[in-house]
Amino acid sequence: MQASNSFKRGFLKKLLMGFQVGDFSSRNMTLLERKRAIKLSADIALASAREGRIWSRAIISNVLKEEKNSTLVRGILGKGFDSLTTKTCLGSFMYKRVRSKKIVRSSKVHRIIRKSSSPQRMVASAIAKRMEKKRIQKLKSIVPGGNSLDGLSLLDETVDYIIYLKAQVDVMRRLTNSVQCLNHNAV
Amino acid sequence: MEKENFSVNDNSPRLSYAASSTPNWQSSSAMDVQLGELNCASGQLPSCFLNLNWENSMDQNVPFESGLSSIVSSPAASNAAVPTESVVIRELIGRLGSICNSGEISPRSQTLGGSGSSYIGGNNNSTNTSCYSTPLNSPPKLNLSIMDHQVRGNLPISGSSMPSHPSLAPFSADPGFAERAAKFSCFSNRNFGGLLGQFGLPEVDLPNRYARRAETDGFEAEMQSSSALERKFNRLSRPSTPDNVELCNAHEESSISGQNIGGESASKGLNETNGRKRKAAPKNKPKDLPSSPPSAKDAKAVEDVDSNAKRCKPAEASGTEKDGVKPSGEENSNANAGAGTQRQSKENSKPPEPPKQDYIHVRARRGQATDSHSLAERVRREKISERMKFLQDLVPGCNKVTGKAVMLDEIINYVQSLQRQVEFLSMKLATVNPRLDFNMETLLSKDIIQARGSLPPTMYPVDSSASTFSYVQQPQLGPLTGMASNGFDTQSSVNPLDATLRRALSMQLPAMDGYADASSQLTNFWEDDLQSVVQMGFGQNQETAFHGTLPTGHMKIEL
Repeated sequence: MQASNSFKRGFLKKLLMGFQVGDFSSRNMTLLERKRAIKLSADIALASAREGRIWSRAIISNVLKEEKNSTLVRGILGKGFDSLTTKTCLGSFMYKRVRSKKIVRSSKVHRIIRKSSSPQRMVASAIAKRMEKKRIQKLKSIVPGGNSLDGLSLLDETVDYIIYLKAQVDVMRRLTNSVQCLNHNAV
Repeated sequence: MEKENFSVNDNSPRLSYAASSTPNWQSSSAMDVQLGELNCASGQLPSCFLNLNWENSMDQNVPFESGLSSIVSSPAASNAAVPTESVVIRELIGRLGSICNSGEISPRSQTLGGSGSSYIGGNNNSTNTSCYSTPLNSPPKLNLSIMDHQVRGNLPISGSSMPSHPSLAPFSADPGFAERAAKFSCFSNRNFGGLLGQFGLPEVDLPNRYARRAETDGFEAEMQSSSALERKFNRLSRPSTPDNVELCNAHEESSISGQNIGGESASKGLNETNGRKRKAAPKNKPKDLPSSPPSAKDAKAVEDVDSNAKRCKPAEASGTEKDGVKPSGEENSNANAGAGTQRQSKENSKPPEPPKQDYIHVRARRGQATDSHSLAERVRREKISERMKFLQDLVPGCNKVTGKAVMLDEIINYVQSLQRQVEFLSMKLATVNPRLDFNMETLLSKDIIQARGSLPPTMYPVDSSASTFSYVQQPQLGPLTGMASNGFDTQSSVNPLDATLRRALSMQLPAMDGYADASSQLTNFWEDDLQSVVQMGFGQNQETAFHGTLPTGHMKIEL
């Protein structure tokens, strides 16, 4: 249940490529700007290193919503940019599920009425179910691209996302560590 | 009649039969020529003798073909062939039920030596088995070799066991069946004669051929069961000998004519064979299922036979090749045959390769709903719980939690913490290198030069080969070098004071003895990682680049 070393290496390569493309050194940036840029390139690197998953596509399509990021994405993705972005755009439209709020509300009312008539135990289970549903909603909002997924595939994506997020954190931590050491040595 | 032919062997019957049927004889002679070639190819001296045998067998078939009607009309004449038929039938049944009949094999050993009525001499048996099991058995291996066992086992018994099998009774009355079988065996087993000759056991030929005949009878019956099968077999046998096609056709005709002429009895017999096959297989099965150890033993025995066969193979490469086509063809035909034969083949091929299950097996417990919707729902729930288990393993501290909602809470927290860690690390990267010029390569290459002085040279080969090693190192380094950075990593919030703190801590660190060493190891790790990075793009330059001799600008271009 761990991302492979080859993935880590690929991610690192893309991250450094992102740094190169972003060309942070030339511009005068505040700390937050720099941080945002690094975060962005880290996200894109992660998504491009792990292609083909819903969350990675969602990350890229989210990043591409802002026009200024497209150069960065293009730089990191390289050749795969066109195919991937078209796919992600399509995907983001495809996975969008629009529901009428009215219908949901009315069904909720119905349910409440029905549940209130049922015995205590049922009420408890209903509460548990509602809690679970809330958590699932939260998870959907956290996992990129999760809004369009149902329970099972959401869990799938979550597992995958966690694995690679871990890898990302790991690699970035190593990077900071080494940079720190280098700085120290340089000093 | 068959029996007579076999017992008398080569001399007289051949002549008489040759005289009796001229048109077919020509074809058989052509066959003989081919056979001679075959034998020569396999490097056998007594090829002429073998040819004689072969002719003989051919001859026997010829009259059977022609004289089907007469035999059918006069059942008395076919009395002599009754044992054969029984063998055939037994063989068929055995083939169907085939795989785990240990019961039939054990009698074989007893009866073979004892009831020497003749068919198989005790000592020659082993050689025979190895010989003729080879060509036929090589592709489908399990089934056919078992068949051999059974056939041989059945042969001596056949006479006595005939009456005891009431199901077999109709077959004995059907001579055409046996004849066809015999005929078929003749041209399918061409090579075996050669083999036997090689072993220098002419007397054994008869029993062998007999056994072979019985064995191939199974094929025959299957062939007759569907015309498609026959067609296929023709096609398959064509490569081996062009004459076979003719023979096959002739045989087809004969079988059809036999059915027609024999009328009700013959065709009924055939049908019954099929029916019996189907019936017999299930009958054998339940018997065998409970007794798994014997079946295993049987399989072992079969394997032994196969190994024998393999040993024999090199001796007669050409012959094996030729006949090797046949069994596979038989398999194919089995696979493509009608429903009845399909089922047979399935039953035959079950032990070697159990049917693949590409469906999800759902079993409703007591009191659970069994309609498709609830079953699907249950499957979905099972999958979800499986994913939850995965997540439990992934997320630390989640395995103690019970309840889905709480677990989801944990998962959410963990994902959020990871995301925040990424934020934090990117912030730290931004602060660590204020100008954000990640000339990692320059720094690293510089550092590597320094590190090389302090590090033992053995580190390098290890690292370059296995990058995992460097990853493994990391936790050990944690307490040493990571003090400055890792201390903050555990906090999930972004700490703007990080930079100052880090500096303060790093001021302390140099005092520690291990620090220099650890940092060199770290850089070593980074060297490794970057090395791999460079490797992706440019495989060749990495060595020189990372040994620090090249200018940094070069590296920049590479990355």
